[in-house]
Amino acid sequence: MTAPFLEVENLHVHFAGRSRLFRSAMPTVKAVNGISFAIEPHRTFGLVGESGSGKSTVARAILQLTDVTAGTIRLDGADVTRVPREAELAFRKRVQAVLQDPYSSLNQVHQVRTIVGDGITRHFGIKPGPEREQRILALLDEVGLAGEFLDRYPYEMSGGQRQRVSIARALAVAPGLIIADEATSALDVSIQSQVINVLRRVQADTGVAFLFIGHDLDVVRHVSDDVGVMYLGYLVEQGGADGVYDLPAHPYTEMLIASVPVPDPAAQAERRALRQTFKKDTEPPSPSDLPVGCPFANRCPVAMDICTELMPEATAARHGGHVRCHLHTSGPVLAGESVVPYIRSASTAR
Amino acid sequence: MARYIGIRLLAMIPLLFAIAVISFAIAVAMEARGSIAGSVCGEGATIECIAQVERQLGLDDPMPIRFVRWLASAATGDLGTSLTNQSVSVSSLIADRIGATLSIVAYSLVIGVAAGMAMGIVSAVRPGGVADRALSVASAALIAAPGFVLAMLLSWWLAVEWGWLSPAGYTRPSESITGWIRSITLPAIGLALPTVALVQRQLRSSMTNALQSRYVLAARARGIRRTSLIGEHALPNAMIPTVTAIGFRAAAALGLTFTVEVVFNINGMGTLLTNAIQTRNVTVLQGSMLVVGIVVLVVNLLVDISYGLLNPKVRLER
Repeated sequence: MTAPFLEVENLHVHFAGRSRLFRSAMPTVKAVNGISFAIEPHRTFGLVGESGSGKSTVARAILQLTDVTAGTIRLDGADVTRVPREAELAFRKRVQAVLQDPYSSLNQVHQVRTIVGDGITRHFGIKPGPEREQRILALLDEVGLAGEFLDRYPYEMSGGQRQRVSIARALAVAPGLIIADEATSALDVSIQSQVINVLRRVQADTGVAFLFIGHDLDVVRHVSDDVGVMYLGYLVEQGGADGVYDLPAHPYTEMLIASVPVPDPAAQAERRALRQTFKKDTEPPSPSDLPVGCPFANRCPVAMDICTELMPEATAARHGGHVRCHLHTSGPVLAGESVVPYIRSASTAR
Repeated sequence: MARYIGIRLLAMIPLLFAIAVISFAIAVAMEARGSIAGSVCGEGATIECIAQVERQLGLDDPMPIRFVRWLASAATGDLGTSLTNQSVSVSSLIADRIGATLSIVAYSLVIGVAAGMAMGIVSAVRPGGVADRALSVASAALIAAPGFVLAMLLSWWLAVEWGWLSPAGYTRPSESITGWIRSITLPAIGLALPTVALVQRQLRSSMTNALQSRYVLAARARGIRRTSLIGEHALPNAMIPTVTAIGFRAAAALGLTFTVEVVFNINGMGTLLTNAIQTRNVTVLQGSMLVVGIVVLVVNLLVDISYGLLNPKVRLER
């Protein structure tokens, strides 16, 4: 196995509430609470979780767009947790981002030429001219756009075309890591697969590592080699994409899987039955007021007393990854086995 | 872009006609039967004199005929003669005064937009910061106090105490360029102060939004310089609503010049219009309303063009 390009170790990101005149101090929001993962070149790590689980905060922390509270981020072995100003430009050349909304993430007053080209000018010092034009054309070709797109403005393109431009813009600086934060979430399903294929081709051609963030477990599994499941700032389960999907060890992962509709009616009926066992009406706790124990305990169909008292540590799961759930450490120990049969028997017993 | 400007120009034709109708109608509505001829004949006018003057001036013709006649001669640049002084043509009166008004309004827009943009950008870079709060209080004060009052206070130091600027009167650029600038600076500042506040507020809000947008976030992630983030990425977007606000303000400033013209004792279009109203000088009133209306149209055209330059969407869609 090659050395990882990106290593995230015990990352914490907390947003301190500011107190202002006539306003009571806002509590600290704990968006990310000690997550660790690594991505090798040529590989894709998928991060899934519902809105507010801290996925995008992880992305911003790695991109140096928000301050890290604790933990370490390493790029190619070098610490980049807090990049000093003079090293920022070199850092930006190595990590790039493709953001969620293809409409608001492109500047409406700039042509594709400028959108893709300004990174080339900034990082390679190539002023606008024939040489830069050649590079932009090559990048557009890489993402499957013809040269006529050079003069287009964002509003003249479809969502899929815009997202291709976003990818070309990220590729322009030849980064080692691209963070795709919900890069396909705003697109139609058919366009999603086109954009995903573009991402795959780009990875095959350049060897770039991807951090793919999404809330659709099916899509994330499809593109990722490894996945991590986030819940309220905790990485509750991580492992190989297929392993986590086929043998989910955490009840929350199982809930995410069950929430995706499937075409087979029998399987769909099974998933619906499974979904019934989760406490749908219960809101997840607020990240500014996290419980002492497992944050999923109040929605978990098989929660035990210990779950509200102690946050479980990571234990090895049978799919080869880790899970943070007391079912695997105490009480009816599953010891890394899949949680599905257990939830099912628990729900029928009720 | 040429096509866009062409369409804008064509759209001005019906507007021009509407301005002509309104200018004519308002002036005519002011004239009581016989009042024009009365003011020509002077006090103690005889009925014969009035009838003769009315025939001479064509005032006894039906309204539409009078309008067409007026419009036809206006198209050739002849707006008739002043009723209070038959030897002076309305065109020459306007030509004599429009320079002062236009230079004050244009100068005030330059000052107002430049200062307002600088303040708006400083505010938006750190919204809620010390600079932002100070500037927002300042612009609230500028909106609350009439600009010419503040300009009078300024004139105490700048003109009376230190003698840098002229406290009153208008010097033509043909007489002395520095004299001209010294004479229009204070009125222009007076007119510019509300513009500053308006531009600061509008730009602050649109610029704050632009700086928080995803495209700026993406540009930050690409390592784009901070000055370029503000100037090349956020500002062109933030200027789109601001230009619209500046266009409104330009038209309003043209209407408000009479206040600073009175305060700084300048003979401009504002005083010409107000005098014409007070003396029921119908021909002067019609002519100057028409000319001011045309100037507003031209200002609108310029706003539309700069709007098109800023916003590629507008440029190509229409």
